[in-house]
Amino acid sequence: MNTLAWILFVAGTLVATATGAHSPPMWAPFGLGIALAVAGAMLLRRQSAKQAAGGDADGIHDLSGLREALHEVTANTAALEALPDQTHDLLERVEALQLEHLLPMLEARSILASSHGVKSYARVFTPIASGERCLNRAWSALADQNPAEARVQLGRARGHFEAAEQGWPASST
Amino acid sequence: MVEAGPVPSGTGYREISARAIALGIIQGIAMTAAFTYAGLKLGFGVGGSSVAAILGLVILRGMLRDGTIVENNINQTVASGINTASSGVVFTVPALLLLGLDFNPWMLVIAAVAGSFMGIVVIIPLRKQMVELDRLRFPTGTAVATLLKATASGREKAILLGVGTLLSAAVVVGMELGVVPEEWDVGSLLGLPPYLGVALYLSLMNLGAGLLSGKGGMPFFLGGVLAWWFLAPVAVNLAWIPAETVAAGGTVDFLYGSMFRPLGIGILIGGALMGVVLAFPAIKAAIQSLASAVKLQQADGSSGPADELSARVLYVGVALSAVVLTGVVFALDPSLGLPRILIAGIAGTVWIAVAGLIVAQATGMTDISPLSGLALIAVTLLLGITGAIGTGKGLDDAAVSGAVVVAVAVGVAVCVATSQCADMMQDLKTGHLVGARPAAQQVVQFGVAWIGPLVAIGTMMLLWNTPDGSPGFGPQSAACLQGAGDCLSAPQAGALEGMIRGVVDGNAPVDKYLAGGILGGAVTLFPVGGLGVLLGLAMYLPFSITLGYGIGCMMSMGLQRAKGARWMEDKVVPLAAGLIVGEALTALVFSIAKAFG
Repeated sequence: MNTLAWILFVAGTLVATATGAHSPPMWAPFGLGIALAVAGAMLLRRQSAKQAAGGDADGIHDLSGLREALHEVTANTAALEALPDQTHDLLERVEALQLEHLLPMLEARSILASSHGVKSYARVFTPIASGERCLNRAWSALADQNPAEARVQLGRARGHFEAAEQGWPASST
Repeated sequence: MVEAGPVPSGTGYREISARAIALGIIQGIAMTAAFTYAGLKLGFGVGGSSVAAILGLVILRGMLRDGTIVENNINQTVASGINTASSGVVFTVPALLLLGLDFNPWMLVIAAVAGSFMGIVVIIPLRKQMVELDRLRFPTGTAVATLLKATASGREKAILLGVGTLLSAAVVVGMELGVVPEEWDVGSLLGLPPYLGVALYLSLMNLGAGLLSGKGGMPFFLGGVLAWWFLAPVAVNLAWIPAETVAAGGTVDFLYGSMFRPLGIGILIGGALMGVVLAFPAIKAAIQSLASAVKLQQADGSSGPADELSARVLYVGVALSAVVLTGVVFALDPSLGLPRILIAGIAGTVWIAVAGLIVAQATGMTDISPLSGLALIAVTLLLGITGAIGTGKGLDDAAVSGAVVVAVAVGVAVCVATSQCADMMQDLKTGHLVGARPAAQQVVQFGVAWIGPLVAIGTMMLLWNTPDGSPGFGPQSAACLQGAGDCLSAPQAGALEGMIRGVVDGNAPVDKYLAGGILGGAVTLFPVGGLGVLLGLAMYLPFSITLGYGIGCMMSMGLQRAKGARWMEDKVVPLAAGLIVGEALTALVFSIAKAFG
């Protein structure tokens, strides 16, 4: 089915491109090409949604892995928030959280979008993005020698990640 | 949906400051005047974000010693937000002068200012969608963020940024000295026919943008392949190109100008519109999240600054823009009649929103913004609404010339708005990466959005006419007629002038726009976001650019697979950022040097 969908999409796109670029456009074969491309694209969308539960990212393979990764990010952010301001390597720890925990989760975000649609994806990943921005601000504040601002931002980031966990679609739990 | 509430105050972390805004305004005005001159002379615009960020590092962090990363971000946001108007103006306004039409320049200033504000308004929901949900790369925005963070990112990243900058600068210097060619004609070396377009634009900035985009940018490369390696051989071998064109050696120009570009523009538009339909639930959720952010702040009773602008700003801004554009249309040509004036004002506003979406996606995925193509569509659309297409009357007819002035005025608004959109989205990506408050960036941008159009149009009018009213440096001036070095040929506006003459005579390729629009909508159904926009953009641009970018994407994919995401962030991002910054800085220096002789 997947191969057929690809053939329909590619063949349809090629036919429609060529006949649409002709002067004047050759409307009958153009319409056929569009129909083939749309049919192929719709089949590929269905396949994509079915495969989403399997995941495609390194390290995070499915929805439960993605949710677990989000929980870890929340917990690690809370742990950083609890550290004293004087922690000498706080900037490095924030960066490690960003690159080792947050980044892999963001790389695997399509798992949720494909399986539950863009609305559920937006409900979870809008607060995650806000949390990410707060972590980025915490990093900048630490680089600018302002640990008080960093602490505030770590708290806000945790709040956003918790909100993302609360917004996780019920059908996937 | 929970959204960012107010930022607790009292931590003393400086973001918006008078000195950052002042520095940004001074740089922005200087760059706008210089880039307007350079754009009229050379035909292209230059981004100012990286220059402003570097000056901010020197002044705010180096000389004043206490500048913060997010404060410098405000400086570069202001500077580039002002400067961005220069591209929008030089691509469009001189067309009216070249056509020899009378117009009130203040109306163009008002149209450009309305476009500038509309460009900021439109990106309020688009930021949520493209920066936060789609997570588009915005290569220049990423590069500027790397620059802002450079002093605290560690020695290795700083070295990689420096190496990339020097490498890229060296290539630009080599090109200027004639040591390095701008394009490497690989096709002729391999004995391939010219219509396959196998030439490589030797820009490391282009390669850097591909490196930052990775897998997400590959459809852009495939769009180029579709046009030049599929459609070109088909058209040539099936003899779709007029024999006299082939005999005159015009095959490549015909393919590019009469087939790829009009079809590509249509695909861009159709792809963007279908993208809105598919992403509507997410866009709706994003707008709702803006509303919930404001409600949260009110519920908290805190007076601290909010992270997000209210969705109401979006609605009010769009309505005001429609009113102002309608007013400009009325002031320029009241003889059009009320129905056409209203339709022109509303259609101009709607097109700014659509064009803003297109340009935001295009810059997010490739760093390239098709400003002139979108302005061209706006002018064609307005010429149709004002009834100036195919009337059989020339530009000497008062009704046609009045309609052309109206169409170009709306084209100015569209071009400035899309330019503003492209820049603001890059700035907001930078802001996201350094943790800036989006509302802070948007508010300062609102405060200075009127400056750029005023400086750019003022500079252009001063350059065009000498104080005594006699011809200055324009294409009809003695300087240009004699081929002197101080000639300003305004090449982009010259192309628009030629297009307007063709459209007025009834020669617009509307059928190809339509076919492209349907095709763009169809391919956007494919389960990879933004496919239509990327394919359309690739067909609209020369293949030499697409090819170099595609090589960057493929290198990035290979490295990501071999080394992983963290290695990419640690090594490739600073190096690629350096490649972008180095070319931008060096090209800027050479542009100004050339423009001022």
